Amino acid sequence: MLAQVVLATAVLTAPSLPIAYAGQDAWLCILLAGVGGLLIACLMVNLSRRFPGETLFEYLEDILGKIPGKIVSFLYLWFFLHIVTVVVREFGALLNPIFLPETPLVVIHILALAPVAYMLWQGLEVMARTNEIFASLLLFGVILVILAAPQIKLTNFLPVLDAGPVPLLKGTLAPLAWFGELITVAVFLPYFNRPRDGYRIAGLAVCMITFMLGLAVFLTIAVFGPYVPASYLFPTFNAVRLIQLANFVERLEILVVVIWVAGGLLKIGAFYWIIVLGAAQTLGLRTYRPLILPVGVIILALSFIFHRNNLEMVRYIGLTWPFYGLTHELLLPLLLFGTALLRGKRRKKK
Amino acid sequence: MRTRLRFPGFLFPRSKKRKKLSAGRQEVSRPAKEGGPPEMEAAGGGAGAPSAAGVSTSVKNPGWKELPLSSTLDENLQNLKAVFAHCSDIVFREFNFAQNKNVRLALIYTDGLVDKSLVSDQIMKALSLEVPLVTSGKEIGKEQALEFIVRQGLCVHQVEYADRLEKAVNAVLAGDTVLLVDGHATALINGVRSWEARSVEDSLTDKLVRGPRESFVETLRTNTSLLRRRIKNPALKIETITVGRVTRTEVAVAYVEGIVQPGLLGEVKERLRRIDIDGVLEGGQIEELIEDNPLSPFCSINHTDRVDKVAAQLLEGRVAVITDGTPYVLTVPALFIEIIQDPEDYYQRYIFSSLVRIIRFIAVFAVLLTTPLYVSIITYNPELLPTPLLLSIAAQREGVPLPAFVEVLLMEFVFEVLREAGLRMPQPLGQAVSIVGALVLGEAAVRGGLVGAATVIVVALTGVASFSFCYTGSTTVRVIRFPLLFMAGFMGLYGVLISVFTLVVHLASLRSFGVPFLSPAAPLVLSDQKDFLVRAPWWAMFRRPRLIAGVNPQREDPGQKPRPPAGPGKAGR
Repeated sequence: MLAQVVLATAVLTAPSLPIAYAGQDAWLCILLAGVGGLLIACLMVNLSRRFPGETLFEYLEDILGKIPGKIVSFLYLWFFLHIVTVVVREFGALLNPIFLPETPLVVIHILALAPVAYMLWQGLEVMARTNEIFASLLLFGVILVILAAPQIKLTNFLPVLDAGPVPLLKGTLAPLAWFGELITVAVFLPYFNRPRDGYRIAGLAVCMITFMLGLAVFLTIAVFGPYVPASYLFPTFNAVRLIQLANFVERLEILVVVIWVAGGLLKIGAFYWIIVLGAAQTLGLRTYRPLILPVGVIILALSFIFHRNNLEMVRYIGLTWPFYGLTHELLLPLLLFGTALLRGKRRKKK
Repeated sequence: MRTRLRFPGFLFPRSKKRKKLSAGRQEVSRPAKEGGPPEMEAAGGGAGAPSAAGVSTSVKNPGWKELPLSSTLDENLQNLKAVFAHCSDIVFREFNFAQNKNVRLALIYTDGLVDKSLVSDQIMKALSLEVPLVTSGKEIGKEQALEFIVRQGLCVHQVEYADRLEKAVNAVLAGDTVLLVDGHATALINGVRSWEARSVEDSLTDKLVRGPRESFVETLRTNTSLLRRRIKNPALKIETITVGRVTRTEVAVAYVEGIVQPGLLGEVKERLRRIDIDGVLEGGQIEELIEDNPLSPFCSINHTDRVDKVAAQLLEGRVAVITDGTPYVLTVPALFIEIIQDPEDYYQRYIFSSLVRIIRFIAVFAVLLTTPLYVSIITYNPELLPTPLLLSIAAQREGVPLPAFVEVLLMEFVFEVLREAGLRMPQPLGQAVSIVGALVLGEAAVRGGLVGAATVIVVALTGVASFSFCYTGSTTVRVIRFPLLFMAGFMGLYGVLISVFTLVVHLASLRSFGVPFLSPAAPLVLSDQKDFLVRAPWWAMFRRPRLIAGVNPQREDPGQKPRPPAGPGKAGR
């Protein structure tokens, strides 16, 4: 239910990277990454089910012991903080030039974080319901592809697998890192109404994300061909821009922005929530509410410190992120899983 | 307004309470035991009459409430007269029992609240003249008098006993007639209420084309009878409690047993019981005292004066709160979607109803978003408009001196003023002035170059759209529109997006008596989608709303879709 929208926000930026590497076969990258994402999700769900009712931050200590567990917890907190700052920054990077070119970026960031903080204050349930409301917006995304039909040239996809498998794998890495964000399921799972459905929900989430990302990539390649989009910061946005209906309905990119803002806010919300919750659990607080404001300020500050400008951010997403992300998303969980297996740790069922 | 205490259908001037109420409502709310300062009694304007029996009728220190009824008539009368000192509308009538002149009787009632012919024919005439016809000369002693009167003397359909002064006094004030019998510490309360009241008429606020037109009136009894006529089932329960320390307003809680969730019912009653206020003049006061989200602009309690709507709500498992003295009945829990639901949807053909509902749904967003979007697009992102449209708007706005934001705000203000004026004006003037005002003002403002024509169109559109769905909902949306407008003015489209997001978060956080306000959209309840944006045909809506009627969700037998009778089937037909 929840994981669906949490991750579907990569839609906008995702296409340019795999296309840069794999050209017209980028859609294959997404499919491959989807398979990888499914594996990561299953890993996390399995791990969670060994410790029913506990979040990632709680069972880290069970697996690794108190002090190392806390250290890894902080590592994860830092990682999530990193993700959320990137999202916030992307948010500003897209909206600033489109909507408010003369407004300082800080204002946009503050205005994005404020409603999200309000949402966190109201709790997870409210966040989930908000998600449900905005999930219907994603339908528009599908409609957009139909509207773009006149611009689509299917020949852009030919020839298939021209460059061989290596670029394909390279291109898979970045989307895989996006899929890797599914490890958040490890934090959300204990709060699901039916934690037993973990696999089903995670699987569904992966399918949806694959579909949406695949759609975005399909659209961009079909419209621009394999060469142009790699140079765009937000290729999907540019693709939709070309839609024109009956000489009157045009500039539909605003719809993409609407979807993207809603999705972006929810994504920020999800990670923000994980950070405050994780911090509260690591530090042993009863409620995370007092942490909302300080963490918000930290996110705001870091969103400027981490990336001084858009180009640096793009470089980061393209070059550093896949490896950095996958370390936390694949390597660490695998290690955790191994340790848990070896030490035979398993929370006793009550 | 506060200086008048309104009792059912009757103006009830008690100068004492009036002065105290206006003097200081704070004091009224303090506990009764304080022993009020003497000058308060003097301020009541009385010449010390109540002090005769040591009885104080002050709101602040109601000494009479503790008194029992005595077995001597004189003492009872003295006490009651003390309680009702300076109440010119209370009638004391003493007379003798026909059979035994030693048995003295007294009737106490409020003039204007009782059926006078009933009182004189069925009580006084019966007791003072006609009783011997029945008993054929048997002597009735003082001791048997009470029993005899109840069994054979009174010709009144409803008789109750009271042994405390307070109950007798309340009965008199509620319009019943109290009969005191000498030698008995029990008073007989005869139900002969009758007063001037408005008759049952068309609903003024919820208009419709097809469907029952009856609406509630100000009298509680009439209202419950209207409901009872719709649901002829003992499962329809109507419980009454009294709210308001001074006004002592009767409030009825109606529900259908077996459909309503016991938890919900208990919560409603508990919240009503917690109310401690001096007066209840309208259901709105109760609404604000028992709602879940007192700080939210959205009302989580619905109200209507349509009988059929309330009956339908009860059948869905809701609870109705009927307040005496107002035709508006509260129903809980209320959901967001009720803003666009109308009773008529359920009587018209479902296809048409669904269409109208979707249009209303769009209208809600039109009211909310049209002007903010207009302002933000004109001010910040004109490139989003198709070029020809942009050019035409730009041409109109050529000579307009104001920025779009101020212009729209101004027009919105004018429109709201016109609307309010049209509402409050004496009726014959109302419509004419509002139309002329709107036309003249609008036309002149455009001609004079003060505002652009597009602005007038946009504002008029929101104005008209706000009439297309339920009035309470439209007031809420009208309020929220202004912060949105400000955000649009300051932050453009981004501000609007952020505001809408915040709005959704806020809506998602609301609950009405435990039911999420946005259900069945979030949380998504698939079976309830049949009565959400579209209205499914009746044979398909075989379940009640799941989150409201949890105990007993089955509304009707599924598979009632009408089909032609199964004749001798022919293949290929």
